[in-house]
Amino acid sequence: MQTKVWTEVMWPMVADREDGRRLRNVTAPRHYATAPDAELMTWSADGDRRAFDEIVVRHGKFALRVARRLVASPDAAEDIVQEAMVRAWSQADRFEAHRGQVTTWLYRIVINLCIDHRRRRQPERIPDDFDPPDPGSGAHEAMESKERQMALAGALRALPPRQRSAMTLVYDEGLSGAEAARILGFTAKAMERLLARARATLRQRLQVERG
Amino acid sequence: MLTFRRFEALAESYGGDLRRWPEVERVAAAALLETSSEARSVLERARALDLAIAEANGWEDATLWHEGEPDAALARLRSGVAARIAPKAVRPPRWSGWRSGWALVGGGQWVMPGLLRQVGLVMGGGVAITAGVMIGRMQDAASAHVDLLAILQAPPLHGLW
Repeated sequence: MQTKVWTEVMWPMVADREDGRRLRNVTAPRHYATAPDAELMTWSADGDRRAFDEIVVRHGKFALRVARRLVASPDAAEDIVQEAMVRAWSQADRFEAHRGQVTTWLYRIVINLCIDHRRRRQPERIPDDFDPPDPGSGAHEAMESKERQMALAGALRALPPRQRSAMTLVYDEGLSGAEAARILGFTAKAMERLLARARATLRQRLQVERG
Repeated sequence: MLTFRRFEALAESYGGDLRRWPEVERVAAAALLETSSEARSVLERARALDLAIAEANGWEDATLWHEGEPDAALARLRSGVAARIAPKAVRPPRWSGWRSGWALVGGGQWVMPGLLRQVGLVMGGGVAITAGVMIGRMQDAASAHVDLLAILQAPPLHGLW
């Protein structure tokens, strides 16, 4: 009986696992919900899957949001985020808290995967049923506004991957230009140029729509 | 000192919300806005584009993300990641029994199969040889014992009488 208890409880903690990780300090209580991201990553590097699940819960939605913005297919976006999270788990021991936040690190992984995906699948089309016209609303103004939004959404989606990523980080996620530049691995100047080019394209499209 | 041209370039990149602008240039930009109507109109134009972008993004979200979709997507993500990072069955060590030769296994695989099997073979062979030698000696001793009895039981001076 005692042997059974030892093998079931202790063995997973001391055994070398297939991924080479070994749980340490398991006797110390871990407060997952309140632990900072960096600590959760340290525990994840030790093989603590519950700690990593907390990371997924905290940052999964933003990762999915960003991926859906950059990749047209929702299924592909989910696959990409899942792959990004698995990579984050397998490289958790490489995360260095002093070099940046977990969010920055995750953004980078997700965006790089999205850019790779878009390069492989260019050009992306907006689904045909993306914006079915609303026959019920007779308001000409509302229709015009919707058409303009659709056109601009299409123009955003058609931006080159890096411009689209920069726009998503700065305009959707509310990051500063410096933070977005760090994530994408650009200088601040390069980021400025990317954003300016993207905005110029969108402004042009908007002017065309307004006639 | 922030020039108007630089102000214009920053508005073209970061739009009409100064919080997105580089931190070191925000104060100078705010000061320029106080004094320059041209700067204010540049910022107004940038804000109009910001608004159009935000509307387009919001509308895309409403089209692509249905009610409750983000929660459902997160739940799928959690279970998918959990399944992929779960270690494959790690079993505690156990003695597998006589049939597999008393080998220590972990995770259903031999830990030191070669060494244990060789030791087992050598020991088994040694025991078999020792047992054979001992049995042989015992048989020799038994037959010697029978001969001695025959001698002792024979009539004394049998050939002389």
